[in-house]
Amino acid sequence: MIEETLLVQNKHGLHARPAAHLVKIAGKFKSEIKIFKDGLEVNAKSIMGVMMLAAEPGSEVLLQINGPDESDALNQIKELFDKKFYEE
Amino acid sequence: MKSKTRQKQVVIKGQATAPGIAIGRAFLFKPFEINLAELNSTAEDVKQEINLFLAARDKVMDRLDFARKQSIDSYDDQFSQIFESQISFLNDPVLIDEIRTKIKQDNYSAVYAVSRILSQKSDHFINLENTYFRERAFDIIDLKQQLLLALLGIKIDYHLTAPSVIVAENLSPADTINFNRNFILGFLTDHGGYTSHSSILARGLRIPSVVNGKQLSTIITDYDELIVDGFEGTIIINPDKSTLNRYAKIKKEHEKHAALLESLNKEEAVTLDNESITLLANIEFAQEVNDVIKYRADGVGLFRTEAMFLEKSRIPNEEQQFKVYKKIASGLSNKPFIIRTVDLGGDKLMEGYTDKSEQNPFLGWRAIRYCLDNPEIFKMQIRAIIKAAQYGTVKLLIPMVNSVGEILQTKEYLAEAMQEVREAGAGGTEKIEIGIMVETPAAAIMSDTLAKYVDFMSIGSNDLTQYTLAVDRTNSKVAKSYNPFDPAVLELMHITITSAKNNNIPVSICGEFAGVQAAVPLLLGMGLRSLSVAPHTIPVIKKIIRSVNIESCIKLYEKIQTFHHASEIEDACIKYLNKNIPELSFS
Repeated sequence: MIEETLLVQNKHGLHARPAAHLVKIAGKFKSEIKIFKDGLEVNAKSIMGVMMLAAEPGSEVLLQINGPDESDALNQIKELFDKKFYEE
Repeated sequence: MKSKTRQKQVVIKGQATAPGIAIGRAFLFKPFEINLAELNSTAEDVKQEINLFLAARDKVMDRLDFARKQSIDSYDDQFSQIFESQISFLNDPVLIDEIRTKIKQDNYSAVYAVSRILSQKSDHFINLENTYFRERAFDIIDLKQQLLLALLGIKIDYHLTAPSVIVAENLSPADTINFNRNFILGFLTDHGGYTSHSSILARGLRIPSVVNGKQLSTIITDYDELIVDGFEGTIIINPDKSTLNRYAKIKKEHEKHAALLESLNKEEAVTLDNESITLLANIEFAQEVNDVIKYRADGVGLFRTEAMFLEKSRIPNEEQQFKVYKKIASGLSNKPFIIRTVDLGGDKLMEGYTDKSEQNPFLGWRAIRYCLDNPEIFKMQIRAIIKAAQYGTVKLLIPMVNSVGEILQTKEYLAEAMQEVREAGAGGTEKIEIGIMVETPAAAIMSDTLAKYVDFMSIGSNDLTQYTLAVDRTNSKVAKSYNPFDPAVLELMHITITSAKNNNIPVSICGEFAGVQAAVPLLLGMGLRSLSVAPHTIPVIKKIIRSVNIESCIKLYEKIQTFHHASEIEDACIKYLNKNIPELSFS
């Protein structure tokens, strides 16, 4: 199992479209992917869950991945956060 | 049609969320209320309930997909995004599994499981602080309603048989898009605001929308005659004949106006003799920057910052203010953006900050006087402005200045604020232009002196008229004497324009007078070359500018100087317009 804290840097935070982007990427992996924020735990493969985090720009989320392709999943999700969800 | 006994006209104020005038009958829309208590909460046959749920999901999905496609064709992105996110919820495997498990493990009926799970989700969103995320609650509530209707096999009739004003407590995205839109004259809802679905749709369809905030849907009945004024936010139930006529006229003007907009938007604001006039916009909300761009204004001549303070009844902090200023500055792409520092006091009172016990609030602790006495508030605003200035051409405008002393003291605070921004390493501007509102007789009379201390001046015609004539226009006993065409007011404006010219600084006018059609040629004749008006009035003002030449405007001004009465001057100006632009017929 691996964990990493990620910073939400895109313009609006995890709004519907960036959240959908994240869910799409998470859905490609076999591993279980969880996101924690402010005491809330959600499944990264669920758009409803990701939106429920209400992650605003500048906020931090904790990513926890467990499974056979966990490091691959982490890299791709990290890139998505770093590239600000390819918004601009 | 039902015949009704003629009722008395009722006028109600609300919030205008989409411009335009609608005149027509009310269509009362009531969402179907599902009484969960009456429904079976336990599944008789688990497998069948799951299948029912999945079938309902597919049905709603088809409907949403259709709505999404339609909204892409006809409206803006904002609208199709709502459907897009509802579709993504229905496609969420985790959510679907959660509902399925509820049916399977807890033996819930499909309706009960859907209702239970989606209510939990919407309850979570409704308690969020952030507006965007909080509003998602309504998407989920709407989704729940649609799933339940599909499960119960209920079809809602959205069919309008005649052009109607839709009156509802609240309208969901699906409700909004399901009416046959050729028959929608306007929207009137109890709840919502500028960003609610019906408001967005209304702006897309170019029909008016007003949100009232009260239980209008319980007052209005089907077939009531209604007027919805999406400019002023006025709702009139059972209007009398003269009101109807008046609004029919306003509506016609608006349609003419819209046609003008189409034809004029690409044209420049130049007079017949090739004098170029700067047309700026007066705004008070960040989202109005879209109107500024749509009407191709040359910039923002007046950003009133009071709304930002008053709407939340507390002082917005530096970061909140900075975000708003930055948004507008970036949106204007280097066109001038003039921010007026907060004009509190007078009739703009804030509990706990301003003094409501004043005997003469308009002669009291307001505008720059208030700011100079509250340096924390004043400097915080200036710092936010300085920081935003790196994103555009931002200028500072000081309201209600009377004396050189006030300008010098403001400049001291400005220097301190700049130092503070620099020390914080917040990357603000090093130089910002500073201007004053000329809106008291003292400022106008002394404008030649004041001009030596500032970079630009802007005439505030509303207060200048009120202070020159000593008339409170909200007092109906004396309001008839309030007239900016009064020779005394015009003389003070002329002194100000001449002072600016002699001191080589720009001068503009940002009061309502600049948007009074008959006043435009007169103001040009007095020497003004820059006007700041409400964004939606720009097309008609441009039309006037393009129909006159400066020489004849000067002659008009010379002529009215021989008149002694405000009414004579006003009549002459209206006559001038009707002669030069007969197609607009002014009155």
